[in-house]
Amino acid sequence: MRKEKFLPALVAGFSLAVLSVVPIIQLATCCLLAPLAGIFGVNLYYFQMKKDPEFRLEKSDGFQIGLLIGVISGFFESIFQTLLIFVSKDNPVHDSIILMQQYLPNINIPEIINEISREIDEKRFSALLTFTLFFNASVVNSIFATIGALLGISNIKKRIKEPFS
Amino acid sequence: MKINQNVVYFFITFILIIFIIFIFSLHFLQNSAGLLLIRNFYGKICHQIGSRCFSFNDKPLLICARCTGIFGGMLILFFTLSIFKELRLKFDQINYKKISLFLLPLFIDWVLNFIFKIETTNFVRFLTGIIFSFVPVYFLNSLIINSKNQR
Repeated sequence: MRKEKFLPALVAGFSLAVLSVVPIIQLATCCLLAPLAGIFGVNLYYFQMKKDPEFRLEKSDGFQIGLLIGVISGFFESIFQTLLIFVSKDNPVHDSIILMQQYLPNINIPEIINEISREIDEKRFSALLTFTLFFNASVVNSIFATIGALLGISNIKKRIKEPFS
Repeated sequence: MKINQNVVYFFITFILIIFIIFIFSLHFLQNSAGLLLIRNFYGKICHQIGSRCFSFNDKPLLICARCTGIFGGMLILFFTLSIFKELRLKFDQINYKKISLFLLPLFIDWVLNFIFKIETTNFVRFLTGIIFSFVPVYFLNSLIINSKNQR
């Protein structure tokens, strides 16, 4: 992997993580935030590299940048979310349980989930929740940022009328 | 490694079918840990506001009407492109600037909802989502059919 991909992925991934924890932004952008980060990352990479005459944008660049954005944003997002839980009085796990019971009253909640909820109530921190947040954000953002990055590559190729590779 | 183009289209269609099936998780899943996991997965890509989601049997879908439109539209379009091969090339020949017009309805709906606080219905959101889905499918289609390592 070219090291030049890291900086655009870092910028796009960090931006995605910051914007993901702002409720109004999440409300406004809905499912488009991660793909937009992918498009942004690929465009940053293209603008960084286009002066090099031998440079050709490839599909594999999109996959690599998308995955990098996913992992980087997952890392920062889990930190931000954990800090937010730490300083706030919210308990997202408890809220999820309540919501679930609202639609499925007879559902049994596993003890481990109740335990995470209790841990947050008492210590405002749960290592398992932080890991789950990281895993969830990394997987979902990687998938959708990669789709965005591929869309970005397709768009750039259409714009500059360069043959696909 | 050469990959058959048809396989790519059918694979994407299959993934989208799975994605759409699981937005009905509240209707058929009884495992709470699985439900929480799936709800969190969709929660990462959609705000999941109850009033903006379609509901069946008093249980909401796990994504909002707009996202349902976008992913539903993508599924319909990819399924169509999987079946009718000649459409792939015709679709790709449309100028990308014209395709950008398909962003407009969603953008207008978003501006009305978010900036001017004028509430449109879930059906309108769903419809603008479907129209929007032409854009990602157009660029993905272009990427697939113009790839050198595909036949």
